[in-house]
Amino acid sequence: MNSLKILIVDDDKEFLALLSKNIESWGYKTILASGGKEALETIKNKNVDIVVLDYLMPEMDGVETLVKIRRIDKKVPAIMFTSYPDSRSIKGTEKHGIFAYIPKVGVFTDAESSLKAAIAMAEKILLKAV
Amino acid sequence: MGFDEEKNILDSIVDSVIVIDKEGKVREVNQATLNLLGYKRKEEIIMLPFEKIYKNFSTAGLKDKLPLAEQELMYLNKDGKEIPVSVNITTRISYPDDVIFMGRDISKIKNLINELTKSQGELKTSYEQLRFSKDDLVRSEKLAFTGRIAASIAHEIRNPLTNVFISIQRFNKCHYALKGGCSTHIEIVKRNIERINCLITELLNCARPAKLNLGHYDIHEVLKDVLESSKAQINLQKIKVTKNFTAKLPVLKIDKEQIERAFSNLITNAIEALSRGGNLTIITGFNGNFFLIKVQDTGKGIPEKDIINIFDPFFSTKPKGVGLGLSTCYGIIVSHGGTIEVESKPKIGTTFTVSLPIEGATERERERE
Repeated sequence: MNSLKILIVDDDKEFLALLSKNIESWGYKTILASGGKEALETIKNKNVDIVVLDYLMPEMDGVETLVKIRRIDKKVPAIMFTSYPDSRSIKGTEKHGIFAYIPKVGVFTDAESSLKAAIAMAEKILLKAV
Repeated sequence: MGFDEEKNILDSIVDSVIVIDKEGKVREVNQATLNLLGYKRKEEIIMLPFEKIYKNFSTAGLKDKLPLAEQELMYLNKDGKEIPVSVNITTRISYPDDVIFMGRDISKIKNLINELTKSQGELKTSYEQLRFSKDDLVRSEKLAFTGRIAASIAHEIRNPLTNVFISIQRFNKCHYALKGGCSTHIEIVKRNIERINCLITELLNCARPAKLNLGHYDIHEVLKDVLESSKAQINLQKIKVTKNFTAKLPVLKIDKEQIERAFSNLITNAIEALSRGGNLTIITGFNGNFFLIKVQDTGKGIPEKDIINIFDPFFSTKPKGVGLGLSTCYGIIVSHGGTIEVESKPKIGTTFTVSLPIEGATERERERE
């Protein structure tokens, strides 16, 4: 069975490396992008099944990146990390097709299990659609 | 000088001149007196007993005190209306039984003084209110500022902290067969990461309290729960707890977890102040649109110079204190639309008074993001 390719977008390169190791340990393949620009390049040139984006990034934030991704791929499930889950800044962003919001508060233990669950759910939906 | 000339002088002066004889009757007055008291002719006033002219004034023993300068008396005019007057009282040369009252109407000055005193009172009240508002504003500004930097600091610190955490988790998995000392170190790292994370959360909470999860709760039950969780320490320090709760059921619209945290901070502080035992009293009651909760201890008190800073983030008078407890408390109470005040006297004790609106935080307060 082909494992899903998950594109992870985050400006913190160490976090990117650590997160990708964890996601790979759940049985998926990962592609890394340290910013919006790199993410767009990847979407254009490679097959991506799920996108995981951080919201707070310099130059191009998570929402802006997703808007540009949507011009190329309207359907890819997108999961967004947010540091301020109650904030107004994410209000209205669902319209860009964000499948799940993962709160990035604390030291990641809760975020990790939420992320795993969100990816698993996106996988189910993708497999059904085939 | 002839008699008429003297009269002419007397009638020309502006001050009122009244001569009283030894029986206390009016012997002579000048024109100014007639004008002042509303009499048309001297005949109306001559021979009147002085009680008709002066209110509450006695001539008994007066002679021995003369001359008297600038006495404030109350004259009575023809209609009995009171006129405040400032008089100089003297004996009459060559006629020592006579007493002369020379005075001027001070009603205008008295009115001015009253108005001035009233204005002064109003100014003082305004000043006090302004000072209170200013203190409140300074405090809010401080918290808002802390909130802004706290948010960015928190984010900046949490990112590397998260990486450390994930790394140590992987390290633990890789070397899970480690025995003895090494696994202890890993536990220490994990625990301290959690500590740092909690500090950041507390800092974020006090400066920008998390959104309120409102529900209807009995405040007395919340207070009892907080006391119950501190029971061990209370017993250990032999603190006497008194609950002076109002009979009326206090169900308020609050975020139970946050209010619990706020009172937990207050009660913990009280317990710490009562390191050598003493009394902890909690009083509750309704006051208009608000519900009051007083947390009183008979502990060492807070020095006057520290009181103004007591709610500042990172202000602590304890050697190991971080100083976020009271500012967290302040933030929670304010976001519920309430107020918190403190009174303290060194060696006598401290009282924190929390005031919560009965109707619950308004929409506007809850949208304070």
